[in-house]
Amino acid sequence: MSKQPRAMSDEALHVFLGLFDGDFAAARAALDQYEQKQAQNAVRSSRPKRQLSDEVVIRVEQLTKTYQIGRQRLDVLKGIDLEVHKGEFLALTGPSGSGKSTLLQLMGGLDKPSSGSIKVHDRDLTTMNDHQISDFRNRTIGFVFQFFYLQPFLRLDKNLEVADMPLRGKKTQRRARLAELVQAVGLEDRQKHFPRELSGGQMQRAAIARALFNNPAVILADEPTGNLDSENGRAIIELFEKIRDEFGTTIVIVTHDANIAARADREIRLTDGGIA
Amino acid sequence: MIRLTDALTLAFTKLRTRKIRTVLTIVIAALLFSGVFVILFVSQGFFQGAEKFSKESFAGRFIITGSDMNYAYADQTALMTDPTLIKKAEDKRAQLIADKKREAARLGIYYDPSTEPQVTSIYDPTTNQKGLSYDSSIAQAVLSEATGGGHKSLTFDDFKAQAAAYHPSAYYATQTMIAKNGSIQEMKNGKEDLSQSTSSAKNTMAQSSVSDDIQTATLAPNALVKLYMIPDHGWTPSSATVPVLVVQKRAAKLVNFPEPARSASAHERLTYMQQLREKAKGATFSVCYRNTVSQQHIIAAQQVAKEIAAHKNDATYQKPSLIYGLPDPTSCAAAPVVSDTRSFDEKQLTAKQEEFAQIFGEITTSIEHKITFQVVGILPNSTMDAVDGGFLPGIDQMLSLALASQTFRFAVPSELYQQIPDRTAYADALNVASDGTAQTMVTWGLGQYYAEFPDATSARQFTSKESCQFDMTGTCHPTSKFMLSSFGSNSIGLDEAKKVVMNIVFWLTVVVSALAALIAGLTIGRTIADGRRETAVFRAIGFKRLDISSVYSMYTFLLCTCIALVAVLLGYLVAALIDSRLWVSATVQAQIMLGISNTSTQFHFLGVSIESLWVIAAVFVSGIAGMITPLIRNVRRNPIRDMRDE
Repeated sequence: MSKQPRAMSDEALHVFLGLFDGDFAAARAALDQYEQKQAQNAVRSSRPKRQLSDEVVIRVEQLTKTYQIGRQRLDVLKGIDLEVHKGEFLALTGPSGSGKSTLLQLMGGLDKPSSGSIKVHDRDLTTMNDHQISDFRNRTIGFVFQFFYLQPFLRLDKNLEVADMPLRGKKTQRRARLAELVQAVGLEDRQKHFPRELSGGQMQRAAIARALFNNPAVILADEPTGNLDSENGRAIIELFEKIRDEFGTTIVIVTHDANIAARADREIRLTDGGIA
Repeated sequence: MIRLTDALTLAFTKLRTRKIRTVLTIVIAALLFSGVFVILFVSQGFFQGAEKFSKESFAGRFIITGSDMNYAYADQTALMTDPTLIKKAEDKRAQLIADKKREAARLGIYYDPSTEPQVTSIYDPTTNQKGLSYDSSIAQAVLSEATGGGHKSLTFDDFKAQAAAYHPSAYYATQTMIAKNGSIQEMKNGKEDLSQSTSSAKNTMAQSSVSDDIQTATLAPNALVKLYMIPDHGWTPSSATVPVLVVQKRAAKLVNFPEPARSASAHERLTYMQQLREKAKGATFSVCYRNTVSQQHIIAAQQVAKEIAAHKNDATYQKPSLIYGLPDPTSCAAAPVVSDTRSFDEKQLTAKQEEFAQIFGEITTSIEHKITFQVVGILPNSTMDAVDGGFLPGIDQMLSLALASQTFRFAVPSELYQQIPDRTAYADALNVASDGTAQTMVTWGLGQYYAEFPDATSARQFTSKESCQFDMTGTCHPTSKFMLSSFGSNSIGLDEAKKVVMNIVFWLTVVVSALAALIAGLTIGRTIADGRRETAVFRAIGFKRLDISSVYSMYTFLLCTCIALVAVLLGYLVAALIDSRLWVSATVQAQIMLGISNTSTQFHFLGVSIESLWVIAAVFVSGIAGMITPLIRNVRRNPIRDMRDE
């Protein structure tokens, strides 16, 4: 875990070498130059890795997920075992198609596994009905997506309040919580703005505030910086760290970015449906 | 489930997405439904107007008139060509000729049997088939005897017996006054047109059924005519004048007060109506009654005068021994004898001829009467008059057909008539016919007997169950004795029309709703499909399927509210436009047709009723119908797939 992984897989490296007509020295030089540049922009943790809590929030056992596409059977997850601890900042990495987003969605109860179990706070998601799982998602999980998914015709404050709608919270409480969150994510002066009037970073911060609205135990973020520049990306990660530190929220993040993964308490790399 | 206010907030965002599509959907669906609303508002206005007018006219009364069908409308061809009847008529004619021959021989006068009309004529020119002749009184007597089946005409008691089961509130009977053995002629400007006597005398029978409304009068009880009577009409019981109700057109001509031009405003027409009633009050006009002998003397006078003029220079020409002159056209007197140079023998012969004619029931004495009528009321113009006499063709006709049914065209109020001290002078000219045949033929489809019902249902039941129903041969069904129809107003027809219109509105609503559901369904379906990613995100946030459904239901509700509002507004505007263009004219026409003198009652084509709510409900039902399938599909979808598709 201490060794920083290369940005490219062996296969990709072969392709990369092909671009230099097999001139290894030229490829090496270009790669060094790239990694040096990346290192300069790296979002390096200013703190040492935290000690993991003993309390397990999410327990995944022998989890499989298979999709049937026409006659073709696609095993996306092949018997995953995983424990996520309270207050942990976990990064799920791996190449495209490795199953990391699927794993994240299964942990959030957005889909049912083909087999195995997912327990959050010792409650098995696979046995919940629609009503229970919806309630679970609303109270326990906060989702953050790569494309923010804010309602374009709702002002920021209403976009955030959407998370409270299933709970039918009181208006005063809702307002108070909104005030807290917009302050926490630094959007106090943008409450009455429509999403189209916000920058990408602001929209993602708003999406995070929405995810936090019901004070969930777990935040599941699927490539939250994938649609942001490096500066905004760094700011979002710092925001996640702040959330984890201040609220003790468990954060599971799917990312391709090695630097972000490096800032996580733990990185789990998935390859071909299994943990590498 | 999420709060309604939250569902409303989210539903509003759906209306704001794809605005053009939403607006198009609202406009198209609203246009469809607005058509239903226009029909509904206009028809409701029409029926409410008719109901309002009913309180002041016959429209609020349910009167059924019955015509005796006991012998009419039988299978005419079979009867007219029946060999037995023809034989019977021929036998009777032969018997009459034999009798006349015998009497002529006894009296010593000449009798030419060939002058006796034939009892048969060619009935069907294509086959040369013979049939009983309409011109032969013998043939008609035989026919009448046969179709009557040996029974007498139906009586008032027969009518009452047939109507009793439907519990009428009142019965009335009218009688027909028809000139006996002659005809009456209007004395225009106080003068009789003697040249018309020529044609009059030739066909007395046909004359009684011509369209001139004064040939026959209806002697009607006040209950049937009081609505049309002019208040304070000024008629007093005397033998000088006969009280009468005339149609508006005749009244206008009588007082030389022509109808306003077609371009006249409704106000002008209303004023005209009021003025006409005032002007017609107490107006009189005279008619001259002549029996056939009197008419023949006039004809003889004219022919002889012509003959003499033609032979003015002929020295050999011998004038007839008996010469009649023309009477003073203002007198309605008998043709005076200008010259009588007949010998004793000639006079003897004439006396014998008159005796001969009297034996066989022919009249020989000249009778004339000048009768003066005084207008005491104005009857609506015939529904047929509205077609060509309207100031707004189409609407007049529609209103006329919808509101009014046949009523009298020339009526004498029986209670007033009975007050005339000496009615003997009217015995021939205004002879009260007791024969049902005459009644049926001359009074424009109105029967002799009337039953008034407390409600339309009883009246309609009576009509539909008891009225004569013709079979394929044109024969009246044997169990039905009377031909029944509504009188004075078309209340029953209106009631029926209301049902028909509501039926049309219902089916139109069903069709429009189906179309609207299709359109709304496509739009809602597209909106839901477009919102799949959003639904997936909401599901990830914790929305239940029911929450998502409530958002889209609220969206459908908002969409339908917009459709309903626009449709109602549009429908109301169009109906108001129609009303603004027609109400004044319709009010006037309704007042004319129903003979209402109260000008404050208005007829509108804009009415709102409970049925409007049903159409509004149909808007929402169509929206819900359009929503159900795409919504069910949507909430059943896996949110992950929708996010992945994105």
